[in-house]
Amino acid sequence: MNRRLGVVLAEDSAVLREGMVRLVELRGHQVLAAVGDGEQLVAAVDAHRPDVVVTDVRMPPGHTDEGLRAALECRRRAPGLPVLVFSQYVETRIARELLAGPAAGVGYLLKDRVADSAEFLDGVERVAAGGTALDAEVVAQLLRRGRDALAELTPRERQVLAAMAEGLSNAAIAGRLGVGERSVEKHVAGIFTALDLPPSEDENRRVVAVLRWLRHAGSA
Amino acid sequence: MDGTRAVAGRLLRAPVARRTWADLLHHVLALLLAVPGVACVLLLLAGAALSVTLLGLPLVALALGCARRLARVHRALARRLLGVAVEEPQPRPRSTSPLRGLGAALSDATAWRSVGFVLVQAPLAFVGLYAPGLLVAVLAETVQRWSTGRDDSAPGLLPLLVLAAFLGPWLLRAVALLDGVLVRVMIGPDPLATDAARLRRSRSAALEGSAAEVRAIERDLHDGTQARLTAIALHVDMARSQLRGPDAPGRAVELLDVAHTTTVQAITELRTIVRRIHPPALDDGLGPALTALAEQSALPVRTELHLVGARLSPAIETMAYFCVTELVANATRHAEAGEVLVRVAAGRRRLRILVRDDGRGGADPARGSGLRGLADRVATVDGTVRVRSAPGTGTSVRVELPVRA
Repeated sequence: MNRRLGVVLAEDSAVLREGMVRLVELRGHQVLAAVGDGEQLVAAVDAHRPDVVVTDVRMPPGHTDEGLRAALECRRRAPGLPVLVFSQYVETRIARELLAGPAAGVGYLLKDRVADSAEFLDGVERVAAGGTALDAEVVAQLLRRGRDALAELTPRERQVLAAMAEGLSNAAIAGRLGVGERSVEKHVAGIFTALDLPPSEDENRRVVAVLRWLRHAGSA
Repeated sequence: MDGTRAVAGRLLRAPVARRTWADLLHHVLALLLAVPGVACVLLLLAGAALSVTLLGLPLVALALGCARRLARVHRALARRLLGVAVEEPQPRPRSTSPLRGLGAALSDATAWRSVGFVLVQAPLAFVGLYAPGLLVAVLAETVQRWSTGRDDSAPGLLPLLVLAAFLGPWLLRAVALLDGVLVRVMIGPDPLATDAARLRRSRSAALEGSAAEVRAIERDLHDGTQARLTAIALHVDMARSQLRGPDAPGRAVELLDVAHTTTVQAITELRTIVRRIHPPALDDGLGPALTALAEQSALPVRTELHLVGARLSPAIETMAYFCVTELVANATRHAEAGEVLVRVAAGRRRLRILVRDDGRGGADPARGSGLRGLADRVATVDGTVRVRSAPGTGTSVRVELPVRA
């Protein structure tokens, strides 16, 4: 198990909120606060300084994107604070707003994934560690948007890129696609070349590359 | 007896009743209005006589406009003084081109009815004051003759005044009633137009009402049912992972697998249904919704949106969104198109939608049920659909909707 995380949770449906609290605690993490709207979320994050924020997008009072607004506000107050948002529908606008700022420690999952507890918790932990967790459907929509840049890639490279954008490691990608890790590495290199992303020493080139590319795709 | 006393009381009070003086004032003002009324009719006749030249028709239009305005003054008088409240007729539709404006003015039925009213009203106004006066004078003379037994003397002042005071009010009232009928029949709103307007209003209310209702249902499903289903799936999943291990009891995990899969399927289905009930993208308004639609489309979609400051009602926004979704989907599925253009522009009265693709064309609204269904749906708000789709030239569909249902 990873390190014990302090989590602040925001979800307006009480029954789902309680379920999520139980899930996070079963995994051994600590829920510092569980709230039901955006304003309370910002206040709770100020008060508890969590390792990661997990929030629904659509919450009271307006039931539009209060959760996203609150999450972005939290990230503005505490730059680099890992934030995972989830919503009933995939909206490229939301992905774009999330990815518009500093890219590390951001996640956007479909609410359905919450029902798959292991996948959801993996996402929370990945985001808390500064990685990314983008729903396969979010990625599909963003990739569709960036068709032109993608024209350069082979179908296999596209699959690898989509898996990378979800935050999977090379080993995990190899497992999912049923190929060797070496060939995944080859594909990754090919993707970086096709997207004209030069290597660098100190950043997590992989995450930055994918996000930079997705951001480009999302805003084009 | 109370009844007799009441009638006697009304008879005695008639000369000082408010009603009487209001009637009198109305008839005097109506008589004054007869002057512009006659002028108006003369202008109309002059215009008609000159109508062989270019000047004639604008004169007729001018006279019609004056008659409409006079009628409005008459309605105001009747409302204030006679207590006859008649709704204002529909205003004449405005037109941007002067020629079309002239045509509309000349074919304005309400104005022609106003001319008719002015023609009838002028003599009636005259009679309305003259007849009661004459009648009172004749009666006074008869009474005088009867009381003095002489034939040649002029009527005295006193009987004249007494009769005028007690009989006059009833005569004024009679004329006022006749005036009221005329106002109602001749310069009230056209009954057909009123019916049409009422139907439009009630249809609009029904549409907006159902749009609001649908929105509420969507919210209930989203905040209630969907969240609950997700919670169920989550708990089943947690229970399942608790049970995994060497001492898992029998087939429990297997059963929970089924429960979990079924719940997740229900969530997915419900999501599709809810999205169809009310596209969540519309929460941000039509513009952002169409932008998102374009981004999520499988085909490249170019959007040109002119919606700044547009005041569209929710039912129209939903309808417009539905049209664009349907047309873009058609282009994607059937047209073999490479690109789609979506142009949406809101004017003061109409919302204009154009969806054009560069595909193979040949779409036939008569055969495809999709386009016909779209036209049917658009027709419920008095919208129009025009399809141009010659083979090989792509398909362009223009939809026009009112900005308010």
